[in-house]
Amino acid sequence: MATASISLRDVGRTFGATRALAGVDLDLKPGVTGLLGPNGAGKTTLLRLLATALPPSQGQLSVLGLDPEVPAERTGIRRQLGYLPQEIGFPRGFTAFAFVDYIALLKEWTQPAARHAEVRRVLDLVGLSDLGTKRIRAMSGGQRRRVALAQALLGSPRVLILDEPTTGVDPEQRVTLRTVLAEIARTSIVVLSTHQTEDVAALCERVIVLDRGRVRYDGPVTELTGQAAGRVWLADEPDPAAKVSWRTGTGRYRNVGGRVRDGVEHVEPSLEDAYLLLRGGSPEPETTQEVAS
Amino acid sequence: MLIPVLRAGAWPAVAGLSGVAVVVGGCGAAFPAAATVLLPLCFVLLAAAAAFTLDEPASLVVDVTPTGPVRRTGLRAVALLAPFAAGALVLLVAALRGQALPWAAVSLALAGNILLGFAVACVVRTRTGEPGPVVGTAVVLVLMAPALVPHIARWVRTFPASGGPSSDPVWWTVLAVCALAIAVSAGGLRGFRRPAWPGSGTRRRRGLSY
Amino acid sequence: MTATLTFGPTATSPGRATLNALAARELRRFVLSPVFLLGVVLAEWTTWTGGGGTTTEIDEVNGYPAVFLGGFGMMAAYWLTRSMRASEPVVGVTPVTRAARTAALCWVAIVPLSCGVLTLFGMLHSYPVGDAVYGPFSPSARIAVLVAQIVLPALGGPLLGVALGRWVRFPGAAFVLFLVIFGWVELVTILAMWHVNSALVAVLRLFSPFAFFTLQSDFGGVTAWRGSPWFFIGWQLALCAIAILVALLRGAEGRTRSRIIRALGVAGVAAVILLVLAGLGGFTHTLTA
Repeated sequence: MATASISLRDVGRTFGATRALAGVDLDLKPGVTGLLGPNGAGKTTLLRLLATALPPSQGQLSVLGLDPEVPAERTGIRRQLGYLPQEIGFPRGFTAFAFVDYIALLKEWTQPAARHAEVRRVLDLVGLSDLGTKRIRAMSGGQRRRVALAQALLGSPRVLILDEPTTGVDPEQRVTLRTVLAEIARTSIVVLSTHQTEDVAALCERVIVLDRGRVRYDGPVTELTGQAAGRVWLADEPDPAAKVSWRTGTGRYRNVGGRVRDGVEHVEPSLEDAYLLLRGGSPEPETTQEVAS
Repeated sequence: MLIPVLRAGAWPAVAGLSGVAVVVGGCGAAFPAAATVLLPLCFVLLAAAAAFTLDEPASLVVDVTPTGPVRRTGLRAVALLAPFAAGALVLLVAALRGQALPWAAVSLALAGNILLGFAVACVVRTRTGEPGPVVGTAVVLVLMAPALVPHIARWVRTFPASGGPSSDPVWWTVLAVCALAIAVSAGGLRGFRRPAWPGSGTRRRRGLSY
Repeated sequence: MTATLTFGPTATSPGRATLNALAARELRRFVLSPVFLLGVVLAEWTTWTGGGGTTTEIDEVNGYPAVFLGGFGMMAAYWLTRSMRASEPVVGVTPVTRAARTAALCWVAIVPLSCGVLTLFGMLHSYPVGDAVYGPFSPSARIAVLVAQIVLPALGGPLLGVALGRWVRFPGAAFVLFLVIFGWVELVTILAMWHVNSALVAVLRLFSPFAFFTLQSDFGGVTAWRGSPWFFIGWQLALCAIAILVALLRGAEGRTRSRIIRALGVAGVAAVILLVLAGLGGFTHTLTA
């Protein structure tokens, strides 16, 4: 089987007069890619394009070597695709098992025995094996999210698109999810959008930062984090010279970016620090991997 | 696949509306003097029931599965048996009660009402996952227009009755338009049309063919 | 480090200013509702054009305001009430209770009521009280017929829509109820044509938010049916009260709930009494003029 790949060339998407995405050039290979960005940056739009839910307004998109704008090829993509949208509705009266089974059926799992086995497998992956017969309406928000995630994992898809998969999910399940995704990402392309930078740091080798529909950064997580090295420090008061400053749980203030004075107490930067630094602008020259907007 | 696809739809709405239609139509069948008023109301309720057959709460996920919209719509169309059966039951009761109705024209009106609700739902389904409420309301208002607005009733008749224009031309036209609308909407769902890129003089698509 | 908890002000009922602001907001939303706007346009058009033909008895035109202001108003109010349902987890934990929000919603009925009153004046302008289209009713009874057929349905329809929106989840409930009421009025009217002097059928005919009081006589002139339009207005007002109370009952707790249920009981009994009086009062048999 050829290596999975997704290619975007100058891809853009409009909604009326609004350009949600513009000039996006990306190549995605197997592994986990995190998608970060402020609200309205275009993350969900990009994910919907990758999931073949929307066509681009401009540019070329190729998923697994197939063109989503050709109906037969789009069907071919969807046979190898798992998609978890940001919000999902569930049919009335369905149990978790019934809903995932329904999606499995639409994903052409026609043999009941094999289909049911696969449904049980994915429910087990998300820790819902004991709740398969429970009505979704009676579940908590986190449990519903896991039901939605389970349907995306059906068939171990070669392309897995996850829009905020850990919303409402407890810390234990998040750790389990990371394990599951890491395993899938050995041979599949996993793209996940999240506001939880620690999930990206723990799980993703690569991160894409979107801002106002354009790619601000595309590269390794470590390199983005490294951009904040020497530019994060703790103090007893918020430092007016910092770009961003906030009070931590210890009562001290974490300061990021801006003019770093001598003698401050530097700390190891996190991905969140680097992301905030990127969003807030940097007095340092831009690195080669940071794409100008 | 048929049963799960039907279960995932708004079957309570379809069944409930069909049930209310049977009650209303049953009153029309039981009281012949009221038939020309209550039977059209029954058919309007059945049209609204048909509007809910395509509702898909999980549309964001379902719409990106390999099972295409044409097949899914075809499977959901089986749910139209409910309103058709309800309408047939009402007409059967009316016939058994000895009502002298133009049965061919009435059956055409029944089919036209239901297919209208379904066709409009097909078109609106390309935009939203749950077209039922909006389409149901719109279909009711449109189909009730001749009964509510006398100026329209002078020209358009949606239920066969003595005197005045025939309802057959209306329903044959509606059926033709519905068939076209269903075909076009199915084609629209299969297609993957690009919206215009603002500021571009032409809608040239680079490197992709259709 | 210990955290110090501070509590906000103790719960009190929302001030008049809050209720007024809420009511104003709901009024604005109702006035801009496409269904209601369509209803107003159709009501005025059909009323002023008289159905496009020559009006020989008042019930030929009186039904239109009821359908368009009352029926469409019901659908608009239903959708308005339902529109905030998705936000209930957030809205429900604000200091303003659901009952207060429901009361604000009920105020939207002012708009179709005003339209109904204007339509009433328009009807009187087109068909003065002395006109033969009213049949044998006395002048005051003629006014009562107009009020019962134009003004009160315009008031009651939206109130019914609010009550329905508070209790029924099915999104098509409004148009279903609209069709059911429409069909019921037609059915009992036809029954009344077959049993013109029956007291029971008269009560059945009036057991509705709207009723006809006249019909074109086969021998010329206008026939008035049994029933008292004055008591019928009372019955309609009782229905309006019931609709408001049913709407307020949703989410009510404790003493408020008990009071509402007691008031519902009183309104229900009053409604039954007024309905019976409406059916038995007025003309005791059909009369043609």
